[in-house]
Amino acid sequence: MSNSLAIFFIIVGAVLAAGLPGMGSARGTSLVGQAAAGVVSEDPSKFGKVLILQVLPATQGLYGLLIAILTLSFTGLMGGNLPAYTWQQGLAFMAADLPMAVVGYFSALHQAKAAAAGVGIVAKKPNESGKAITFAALVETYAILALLISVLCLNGLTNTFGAAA
Amino acid sequence: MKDTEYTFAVARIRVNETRLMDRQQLNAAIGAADYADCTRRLREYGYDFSLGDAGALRGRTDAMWELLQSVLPDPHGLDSLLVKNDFHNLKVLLKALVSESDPDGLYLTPSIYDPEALRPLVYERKNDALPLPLQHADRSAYSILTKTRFAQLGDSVIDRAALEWQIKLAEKADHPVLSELAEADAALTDIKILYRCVLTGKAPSFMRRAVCACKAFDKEAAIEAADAGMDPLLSFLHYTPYADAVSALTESASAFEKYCDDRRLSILAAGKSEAFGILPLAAYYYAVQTEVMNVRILLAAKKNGLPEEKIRERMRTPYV
Repeated sequence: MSNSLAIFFIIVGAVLAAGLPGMGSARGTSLVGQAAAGVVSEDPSKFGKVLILQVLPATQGLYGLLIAILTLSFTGLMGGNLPAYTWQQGLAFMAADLPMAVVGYFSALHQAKAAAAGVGIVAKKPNESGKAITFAALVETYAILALLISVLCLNGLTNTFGAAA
Repeated sequence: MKDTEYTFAVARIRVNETRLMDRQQLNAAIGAADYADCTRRLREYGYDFSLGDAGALRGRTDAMWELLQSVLPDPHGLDSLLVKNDFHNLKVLLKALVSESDPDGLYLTPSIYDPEALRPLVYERKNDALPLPLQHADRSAYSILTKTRFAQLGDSVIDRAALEWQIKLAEKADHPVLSELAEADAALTDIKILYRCVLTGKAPSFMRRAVCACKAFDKEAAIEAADAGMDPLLSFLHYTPYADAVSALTESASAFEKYCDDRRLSILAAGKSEAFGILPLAAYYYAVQTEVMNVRILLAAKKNGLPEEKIRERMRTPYV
């Protein structure tokens, strides 16, 4: 029973880590895509520059996927050789996923807004596209910090509770 | 409507803003040797003079409105900016009816309601069939025009109704800048009316019917000051947010018109830095209107051989 509950928490953590940043990235790339389409419909030559901005909020989805895979791998769930975790240990693994899940979702949305505003810079001053990318890329910092914390937590928990065989 | 729903529209407008005449291009057109040289330069900036000056200006406005209509997520989002044109068109139709003249060519576009659709309703006095915002103004102005032939009062009643509707529509749009613009329009129009009333010795009863209530100052106090004379009116204005209008007002009518247009555009300048929402679209609408006005003044000035410095004095500040 205890192991089943641990598995449940681990899976919920992995699902949140992959799902929330994925949703944020989908919404974010959609928003920037709309802005990019607006510019490209008037001036197709700017496609390359606005595409970079559209890609920026997509990274959170990838980070979330990475954390989900690490969770399943570190706990042994992926290989089917899960140690006998207590439900509290399962909950701890889920908590380790939360920084990436929550920060990934919100940072994708906010990065998308910065990137969509940057599309306006590209539209008016294409030579300043580097600045537009920098403004949006700075938001990425917080997604990377959350990724780092989630990785460190997962690593620490695996070392503490014992790695999967 | 969420601001992010305007993302596509704002991006398209940003690209089109780069096609507006900037200060450098405007200066080059002002510096043109003569009318022919000026139109040659304006052609380079996208004006098509194949249908004459009026056609070129109309073409620019129509293209702007076509673009805005194609990208606006809410087709009524900019109604508060158009409403003045509808009331102007009502004025044109009523005058044409009373004076038995032809209103063609006098309409202002774009407008919320098609003036040609309003025409039979006004001519056949089907007041109830008119759009609701126009009904009261139509009834009052028609009564004034037919009973008293006091065209100025008829105009003022319609202008006031237009401002009141503009304020209501801006409130409905729920955007602080559009509300600020509507309030500024009302205040500036009131100042112009009061100033002219003092010059022409109009009675306070006329002022009460013509002046629209606004947040910038108390209507009754303003009418009282205007009734007391020019100096009390100007002193009164010094204690309102429009203190800087006094110098333009006393300089000349065209200086005050320029002040009004520049003030409106300065309110909308916030649209330059907004990435989402309706404001950049409203600002673009005004930016094109300002450019068209500058070109109209420029063409008339070049035709009449006005010197460059006189033309520059009349030029509105461009948006870009």
